[in-house]
Amino acid sequence: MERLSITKLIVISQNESSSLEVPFGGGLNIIYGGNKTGKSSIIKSIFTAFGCECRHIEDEWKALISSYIVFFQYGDDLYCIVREKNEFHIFEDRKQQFSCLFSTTHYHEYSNILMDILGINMPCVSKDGKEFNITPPLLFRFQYIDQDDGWHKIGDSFSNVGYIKDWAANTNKYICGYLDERYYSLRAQMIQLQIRKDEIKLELQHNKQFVERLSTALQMADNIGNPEQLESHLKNLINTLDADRNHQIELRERISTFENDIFVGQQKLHMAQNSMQETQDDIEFAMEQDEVLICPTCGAHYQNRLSEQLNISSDFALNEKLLFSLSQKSNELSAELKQLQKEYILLQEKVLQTSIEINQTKDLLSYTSFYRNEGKKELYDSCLLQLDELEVQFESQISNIASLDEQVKELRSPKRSKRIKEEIEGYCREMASLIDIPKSFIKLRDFVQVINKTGSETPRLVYMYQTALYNYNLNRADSPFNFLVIDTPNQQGQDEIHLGNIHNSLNNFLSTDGQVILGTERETGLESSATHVMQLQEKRRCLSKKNFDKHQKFLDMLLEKGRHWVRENHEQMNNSKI
Amino acid sequence: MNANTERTTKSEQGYRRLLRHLRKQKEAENIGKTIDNKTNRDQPK
Repeated sequence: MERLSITKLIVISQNESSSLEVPFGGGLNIIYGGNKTGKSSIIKSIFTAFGCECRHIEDEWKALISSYIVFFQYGDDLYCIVREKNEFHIFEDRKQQFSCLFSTTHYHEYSNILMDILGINMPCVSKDGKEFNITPPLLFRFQYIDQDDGWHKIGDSFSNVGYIKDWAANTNKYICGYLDERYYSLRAQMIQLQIRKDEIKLELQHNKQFVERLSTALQMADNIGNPEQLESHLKNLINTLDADRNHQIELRERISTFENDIFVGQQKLHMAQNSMQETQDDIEFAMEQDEVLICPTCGAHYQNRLSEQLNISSDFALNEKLLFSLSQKSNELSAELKQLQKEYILLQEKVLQTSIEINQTKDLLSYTSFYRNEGKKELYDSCLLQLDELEVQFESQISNIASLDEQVKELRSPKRSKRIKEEIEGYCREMASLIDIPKSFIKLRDFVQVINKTGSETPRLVYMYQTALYNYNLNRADSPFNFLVIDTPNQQGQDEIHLGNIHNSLNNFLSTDGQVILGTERETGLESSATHVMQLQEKRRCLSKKNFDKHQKFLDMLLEKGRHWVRENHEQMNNSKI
Repeated sequence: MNANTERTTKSEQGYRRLLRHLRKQKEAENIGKTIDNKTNRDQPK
């Protein structure tokens, strides 16, 4: 970052055809004039031109001024901003040759470009979730002690900040350098690295899955050995398959025979069972009959004594034996059939496996498969290499994130916060001793002075803190915080001694490394040491017609360049759309 | 001896055939009786 110094302000009134040009330099700049001579309006116009909306601005002035032009130096470069209502134009000034850098009616577009120029990157989020870079009223909030409320409140002079989330707490930390550019840049880097890490992780997972799939396919190919071996293996497989199929046919035949035998056996068994039942019924019937039976057809006589009945019973016993033997045989046949069927199923499975293996072996033996596997192998090898690389990258991302995290933690460490607070308090003590503020009043919360006093001490406390912060930032680093605007100390209820002390303290701001712009109704005694002193005499007449034409011409020239830039960029945008 | 055994076997076979014939006849009669009973019972009075 560089030091920011305001070099000139031009305000133009089209209605009155009048204008005002105020030059500024490094060190102390004094705008001196009585009440209602326009000091505050001029001071506010500096911020208005930058895009800060001052809480209290006279309606008359607002209606009067149509164009604000602020010129500033940032490092070695010169710029100017033209503001007309909501239109902002930014120009680069190269030896009075102005070139338009940006022209817009969108506030955040303008603000983002200005922050790019200033090299500032502090991400902000609006309350409705939109993201953008820090805006001018947040950046410059501690660089203005306005005459209205500014001596009672710290850093609250601009109205267009409320829509930004945590604006006060975040800028407090940023402006004193606690969570500064480095912090936000580290955080942005971390987010980038985390996104990249997640991408790599995803890529890694995909690659791993892909490699696993390839690896399974190639495992078989690796087991091939040489093609001759594979061919003989194939022959063996085919022979085995043939033998197994023949065996299968044999088994099938045997199973059929067994099934037939079992069927026949079961028929016999059934007949024997039937005959046994009949015999048993005959015996039971015979026992119920007389000792002689007479045939009703031929009249023949047959003995039906116990001896005849016992003969039938002996037949029954023989029949029972036969039944047992038939049943046993049938069981034996069934068991053997079961065994054969089991054998058949196993063989069937073996045949199926052999067929699959034959197909795979044939596939492996084919040329296409050979080349396909070769291709797969190359792919597999390169994937493995890539996988290794990705793993290395992933590990390095993790270690980078960890190292950034360490750095972020160090930046956010309470130790560092305490050191910064103590440094600012040191500058506060210096100022406090000059303007008669008890040191015990110095109390920073979130790096900002707590205002809990009443009476004439409050304005001095505000002045103490903001000037101390200015000095702290001036010595800390080159930054856009190296200018300070103080409006009308003599209206802040200070007695002569305290006002005198404030005026004397201005001696601290003569260094041309920084810039202090002071509006005052009283002489400060430092007018001879000041870089610029502007005296306003007439009430409500600080604008004049004297340079209006020159200023208007200059403005027209800038606006023409702005319009040209818009035309060119719209064309480019349209072309890029095509 | 053989002629004797043959005669005995023939006589025994005749006895067995008659026995079975009579039994079957009785069974048939029993079945006929059951059917008649059932028919009489089922007939509307």
